[in-house]
Amino acid sequence: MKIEVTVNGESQEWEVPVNQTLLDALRLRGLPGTKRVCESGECGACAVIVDGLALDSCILLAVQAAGMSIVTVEGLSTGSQLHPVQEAFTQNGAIQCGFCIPGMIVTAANYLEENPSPTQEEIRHVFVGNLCRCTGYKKPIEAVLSAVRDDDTS
Amino acid sequence: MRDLREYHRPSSAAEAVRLKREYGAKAVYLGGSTDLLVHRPAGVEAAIDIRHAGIDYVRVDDSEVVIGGGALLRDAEKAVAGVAGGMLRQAVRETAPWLIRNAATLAGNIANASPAADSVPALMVLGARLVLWGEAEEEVSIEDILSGPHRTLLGDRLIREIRVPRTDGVRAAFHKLARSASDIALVNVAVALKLEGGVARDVVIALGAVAPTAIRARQAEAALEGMPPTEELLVEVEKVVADEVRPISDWRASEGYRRRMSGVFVRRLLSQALNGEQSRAAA
Amino acid sequence: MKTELSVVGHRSRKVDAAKLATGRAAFTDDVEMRGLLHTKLVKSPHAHARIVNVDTSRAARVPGVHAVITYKDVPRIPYTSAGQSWPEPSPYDQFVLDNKVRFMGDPVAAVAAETPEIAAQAVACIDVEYEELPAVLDPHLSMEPGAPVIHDESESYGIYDPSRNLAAHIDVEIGDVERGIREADIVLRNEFFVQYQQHTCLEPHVTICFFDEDGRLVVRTSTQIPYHARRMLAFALEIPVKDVHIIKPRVGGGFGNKQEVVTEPIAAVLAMKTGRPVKLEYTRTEEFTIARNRHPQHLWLTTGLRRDGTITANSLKVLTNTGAYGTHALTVTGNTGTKPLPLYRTQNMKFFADIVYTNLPISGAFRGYGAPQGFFAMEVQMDEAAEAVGMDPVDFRRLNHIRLGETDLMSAAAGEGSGKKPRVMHSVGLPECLDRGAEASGWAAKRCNPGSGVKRRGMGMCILMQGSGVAGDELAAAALKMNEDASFNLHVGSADIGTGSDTTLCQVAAEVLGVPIENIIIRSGDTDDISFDYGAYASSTAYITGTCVLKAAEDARQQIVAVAARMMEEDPEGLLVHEGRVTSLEGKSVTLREVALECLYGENKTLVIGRGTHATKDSPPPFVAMFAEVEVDIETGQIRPVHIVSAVDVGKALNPDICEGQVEGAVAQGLGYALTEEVQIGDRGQVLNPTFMDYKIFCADDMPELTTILVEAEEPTGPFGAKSVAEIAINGPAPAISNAVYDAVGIRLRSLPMTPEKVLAALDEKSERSAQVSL
Repeated sequence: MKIEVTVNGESQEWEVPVNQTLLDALRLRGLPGTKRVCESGECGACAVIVDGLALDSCILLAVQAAGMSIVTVEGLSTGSQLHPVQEAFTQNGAIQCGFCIPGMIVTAANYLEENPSPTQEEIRHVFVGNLCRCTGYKKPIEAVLSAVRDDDTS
Repeated sequence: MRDLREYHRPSSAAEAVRLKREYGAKAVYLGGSTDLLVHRPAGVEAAIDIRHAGIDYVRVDDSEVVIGGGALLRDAEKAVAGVAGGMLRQAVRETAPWLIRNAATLAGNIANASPAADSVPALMVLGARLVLWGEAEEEVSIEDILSGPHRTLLGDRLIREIRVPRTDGVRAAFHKLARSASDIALVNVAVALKLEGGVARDVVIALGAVAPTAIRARQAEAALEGMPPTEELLVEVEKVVADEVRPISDWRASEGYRRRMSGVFVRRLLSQALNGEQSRAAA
Repeated sequence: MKTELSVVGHRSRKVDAAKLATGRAAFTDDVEMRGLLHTKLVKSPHAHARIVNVDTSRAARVPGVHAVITYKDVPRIPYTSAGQSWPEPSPYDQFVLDNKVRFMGDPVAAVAAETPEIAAQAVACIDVEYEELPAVLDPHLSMEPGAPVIHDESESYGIYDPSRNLAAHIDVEIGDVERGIREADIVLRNEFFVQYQQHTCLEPHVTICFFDEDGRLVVRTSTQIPYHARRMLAFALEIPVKDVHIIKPRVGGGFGNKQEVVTEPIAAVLAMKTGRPVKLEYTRTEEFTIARNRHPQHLWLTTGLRRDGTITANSLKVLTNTGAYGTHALTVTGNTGTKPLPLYRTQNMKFFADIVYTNLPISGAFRGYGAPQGFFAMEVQMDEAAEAVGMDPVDFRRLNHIRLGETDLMSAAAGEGSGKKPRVMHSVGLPECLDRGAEASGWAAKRCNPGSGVKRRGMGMCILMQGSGVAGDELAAAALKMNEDASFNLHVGSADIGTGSDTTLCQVAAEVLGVPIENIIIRSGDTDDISFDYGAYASSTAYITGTCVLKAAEDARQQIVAVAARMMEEDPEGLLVHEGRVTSLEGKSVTLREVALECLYGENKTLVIGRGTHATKDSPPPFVAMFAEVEVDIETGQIRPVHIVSAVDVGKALNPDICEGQVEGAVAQGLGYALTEEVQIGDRGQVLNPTFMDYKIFCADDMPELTTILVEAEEPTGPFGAKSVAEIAINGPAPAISNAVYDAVGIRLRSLPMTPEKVLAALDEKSERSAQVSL
């Protein structure tokens, strides 16, 4: 099926099988930042932003995104300029193996659009759908809080 | 999933229903697809995406909250914030993580017919009604359509909207018991009742994950109805509930534990509801 | 005199942070490869069966299928998948593919096809005829006379007693335990049970094999052990080591599960058959069913005590279930005894273990490597011991823990490595760990104060010890070369699997060479480099590879100083390398850039190449004192961890952010082990809960407050005084929480995971007992 999507700001035309997930469609098109981990919407490693909302791309058909705007982790940074959440993750020791991190960053970046000054409790709640086996979640949560703080002071 | 070859994006609910009636069992309505792509059933050849069918609205007024069949859990969560002291909002939030609430619909959570769906007992005790579209429009209760684990009597009918009445004086509470904040419920419980002249009225108790579908605990309701809700009576109700549910054992919990917890949480929630605030219709 | 450290000890940003945060193609499966074939496996539907016939002809005819392999297509060479030093101390009891299946899911055949969908379609077309055999599904029955023999093949070797399904066996005694028990005033005898735990690395096992333009096999693989993988793969496939090139890209978590050679051989055989690049990636379900797990064990611990609180004897007996294969069978259970037993001062210790085969999922290496099982038993027992002699549990540990200068004899008697020498304690930060941990957790005020109502609070604690590498069985080699701009390429054989070792190693090199960390360009885990390493296991990298990089950097520094001395016409003695310059005592200096240019293009041309190799028989233990505060709901049995305080003696925190991250992650994994995680097995030997939905690791909202205190008891044998940190903390949550539950509600939980149902059962039993007493 032929669909049109905007990926990280660029209009694209895709020919995709109807049963292909958005995750597969993105990875097959040279965007490996979105990770395949559980393929059942449990872990959030495949989170991307579709028309302004972060969701699990492993349980969305690519065709469902037809006509929509998709932002992946690759689209958050511009050149060497990292997104404030990316910057905060790198500065706060929040990245270990890094496999869940793109999903966490996409989730947090999108959530901060909705709630620019979240509490620690709110971030914990939002990250329930982002499993991480390395960090114990402490430094990623602190990183999001610090991204908010740094944003306030700038 | 292997067989899925067609994707339709109807622009109206009527067209969605027409397509479904045309394809029958080979087609599914697609909300967020968060269920279809987890279970990936064979034999599904066409998906009818109802997210663009003009039914993704939510409406809040003094007498009811209406959630369109295409509305996301995140939208439902906001719309029901004022219903029954926030009890329904809590249930919707605990249904799924934020990433899923951004994609999945409330109607999908009902139509999926998971015995453990967290929104369902909460909607049941508040007397939510489903407006279905098929050959004709009809209004039913959730209980009317649930027939078993992941089985419904919906057929080709589409949940066009969910209507949640707002009633004065209702006291309600919800709890999800799970191994983790990211788990499916071992048991979920919702209660609603009124307190009139020192006696309990309009008692409704619903539980999920302890029977093939979410169920009302009617014997327990009857035991409390019209009675002063003393601590002793609540302990009695706890026992009635534990006898009334029909749970299974699996890797999450044993049948016995689910039974016992059903009773404990019904007692706790009744107590919490009685001690908590009562709702006001337009709160 | 030591100058102040300018890179080591700082919270340097990880060298790989930016690429990981922006999603660049860093991992095995992130590259695009022309002509790549995808693999799917045929897996056994039986726990134990012989393959009578396999018909692959239909599958081979499916359009898009390029190869189908079964046991008939691979050399029949027994090997072990355990990534250990040669010769591996694990039985050679596996075949790349075999004519017998020994657990449900055991791979039977593999298909390489144009797409994963075609491969899956072909898998469904393979007809396998099985002769089902009686299965052993209970480790307690493995050694019974008449039990089915799981490894009845003649080729396997290194099995302790195949006829009794006994993969490995341990029996050591130090002193005289019988006498110790006779001399005791109090004897505690308890049993403990621990379960299968899955690592759940977010990145599954994944390997891409292809042949390069010289006909060498290139293996791009998610591994902890690039060099072992090269040797083992060459052995299993009977090809020369020189024809194998392992590339370890970024690894998305290992935790021991990738200290295994499991996906590499099948992918390699398929690449050989097809001449095309072949990828084998486990699905999440395969991770849960056919990868490795933490060994389940049944433990019996007997402790003799004097009334003054001293320990007269500790005797540990263990029955370990290694599953269908004996990968890491001996050494994991070895650590169950050799880590906890010597932590306590007693002259009399006994350690006896049977490690048995079953027709169940395979156990293997997992962070902690046997120690979590042993410490659960030991530290719950020590809590009970403290109570039995009327001491505070912290004071009891203070009285009994091993001291600076004392010797761990157990490591010599039953240690893992070939070193087998008594382990002398050169650094013991436990006293400070105990003091600071108790303070930060509010131990004194919160203990014995459960409150009333349905939710009770409790405090528990434990102490822990691990190692820094396998004593006597470690070698690391690194090379470092200087470029024109005073940057350095650093080649190490170790594997950063998320632990941050690439960053830590760069910090060590940068410190010695007087340059910013950005000047070090590291490449790790490529076997074509001038490097060598046993790999990322046994908490070895910072200590072993760190020392090796220290040596390489010092070697390079000496060469730099020699050239600079000639340039400045100074005596090399007394020249300092610091802040990008070589400086003399009189204040003359040249920049490293000038030195580099002089080396490469000046009068006496040379390339500065620093070389370091390091091997040692030492494995200094890090220590932990962990404190847990919990809330127990006495009606539901739920345990809610409220606060975990980990005071960790790391020797020297080379990078505090990384050390804290290791501790916090280990605590989270240990919390799952304690409370929610268990691979559950059905009556046919099948895994019942092979998804993240059904197998529950801790999520963000489950986590308690974490406090990590880094204690630095300088280790004289370590780089900048460092010991290890990666594993040790995972041992703590289970015993600390069990002890906290006892403090809260007076029940001893000796079976993991501590589910609400077990809590309720224990509470019911307790109230029945007290009802009987009051009658």
